[in-house]
Amino acid sequence: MKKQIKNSLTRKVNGKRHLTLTGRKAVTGLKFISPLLIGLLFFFGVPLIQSFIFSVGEIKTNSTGYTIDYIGFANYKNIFFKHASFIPTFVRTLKDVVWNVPLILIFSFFVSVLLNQKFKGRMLARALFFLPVVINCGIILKIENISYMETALFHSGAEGTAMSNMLGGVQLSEYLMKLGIADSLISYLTEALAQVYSIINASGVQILILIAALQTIPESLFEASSIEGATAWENFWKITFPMVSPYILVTTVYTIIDSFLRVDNSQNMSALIDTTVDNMNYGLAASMAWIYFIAIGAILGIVAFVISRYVAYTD
Amino acid sequence: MKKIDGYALKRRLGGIGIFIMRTVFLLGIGFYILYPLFLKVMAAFMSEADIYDATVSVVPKTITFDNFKTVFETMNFPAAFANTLFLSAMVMIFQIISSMLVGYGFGKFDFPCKNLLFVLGIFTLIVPPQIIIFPLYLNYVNFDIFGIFTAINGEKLSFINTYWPFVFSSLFCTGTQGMMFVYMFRQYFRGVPKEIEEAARVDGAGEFKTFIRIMMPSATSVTVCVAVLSFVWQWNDIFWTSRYLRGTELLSVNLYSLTTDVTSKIGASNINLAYESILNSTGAVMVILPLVLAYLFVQKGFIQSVERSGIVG
Repeated sequence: MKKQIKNSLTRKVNGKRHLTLTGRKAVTGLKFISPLLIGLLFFFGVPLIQSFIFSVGEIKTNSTGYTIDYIGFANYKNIFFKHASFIPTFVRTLKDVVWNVPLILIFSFFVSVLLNQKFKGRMLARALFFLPVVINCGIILKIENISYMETALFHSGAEGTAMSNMLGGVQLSEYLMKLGIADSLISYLTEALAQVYSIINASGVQILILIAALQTIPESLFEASSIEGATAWENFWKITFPMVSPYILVTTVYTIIDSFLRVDNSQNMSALIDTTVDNMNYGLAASMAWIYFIAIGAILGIVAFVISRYVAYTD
Repeated sequence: MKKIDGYALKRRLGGIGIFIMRTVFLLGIGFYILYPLFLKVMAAFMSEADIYDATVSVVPKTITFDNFKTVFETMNFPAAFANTLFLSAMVMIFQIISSMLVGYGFGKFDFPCKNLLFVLGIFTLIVPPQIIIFPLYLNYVNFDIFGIFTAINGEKLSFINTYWPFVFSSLFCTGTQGMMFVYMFRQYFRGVPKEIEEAARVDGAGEFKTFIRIMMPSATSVTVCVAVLSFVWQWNDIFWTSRYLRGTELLSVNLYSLTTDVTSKIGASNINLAYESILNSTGAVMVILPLVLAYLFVQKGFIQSVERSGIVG
């Protein structure tokens, strides 16, 4: 068994410490990533620590800066026991995420398999699916939610975000009612329709990643397996799926992060934290953000851990 | 007599079946994706009367350009457009440079705590921006590195309403999704064979020269991908711009305050929900239009870059 000789970074020569080649390469590497180091330290680490300090205090801003009264974990206690909308919003966001993430993943996977095949108009289809990535972010997404266009146009009396009245969701429900279908089923269906829209919107980057992942699978594997007589179903589960599994992990992590931080829903956590900030209750907002963050981190950690046990690494 | 080959027939029918299914599926999804955009464009041409007209559901009866005029003036479109273009382009360039450098460092070098640093970087993606926005804002309002500015000027510097916060965030990989770009570049550079590096070395190139002469030109596909994404995300960004650049003319900021601006111009009695939605739709169309046009030109290269870049190795 060959023993790994550890490359040291420095070497003593005639009593003086010199860098070895490995050492010099390491220094160059550090030079290359220096922007990140500066960024992590000053523009991320420091604000992060500050934000934690804020979360255990009450902030009052004045003309020259701010003052902090340290009130310990009162902010956190407030959130859990007194604040009216934090827990419900939080639970609702969690439910949304748990519901949406698998759907987004399945949808993206399905679409990427579809878009990976050769057919006429493939470029057009791909351009179509990436369009939401380009268009539906930031301000446009915010506008979507405060726009009552569909409500106005389709003369619906119902409330809700633009999505839930989308695309004849209104006509559909009226039609279904005429058919005599139960009310609860109708509302479920229209909800599902609205969800479809947000799922499609949220899938752009995932489709991108998964298409690239699918293209790493060598064609020869499929050829060999079809010679051996494998069906398409077996091909999928024995070749495609395992080979893509590392990227499914990446995509899952990205999807979870993305769906937590999207500004889709006006009742979402982001909106809640934003309004708290606008109300100048920075300490409270900071503690909300921290709780939110810890929750996201915990969920991510668990999911990543569970999935990575099933990932088949080929390198 | 020619025997009808059952297998060939089955394949043919199956092929047609798949074709139909696929086309239906794509058309359906395409409809979902394009419909809101379509609705916005139609709404931009509508007059207010069309909203109340029961016979109008999507296509306006009276085509009017008034909405465009109103939005154009209220949003101060030329100035906002120029500023947004400048800001997005600057952020894009800086992000490309910094993420390429950092990605190369992570991809090709070994140094102590390398994995830890990378994980810390990914950490920045997980943390909700709401956590750090307030401290960052405070830091920028009273910007003072180790008391230098106070010593010189007698008062602290404020970077609010300047582009500096964005310079810092893009140059130091701390912007929105900045680490994602680093990750892309790292994956790409990991896939570049070592032989190329060694050949360059043999030819006498130092590390930096290798980077500039060889690595950078070869990474065009990833660069295109990063460029498109960072430009678009910055163009549409409302989270950071509404906090750092509130007084500046920017497309996203102006669009956000569009309805309030118009209300203050024409009086609260003349505005209602329907007209607001028309305004918002028009504004959204005008903001997205440059992006869509650019996207049409770039999409071929962009999508091909995904295939070729080995983003995922």
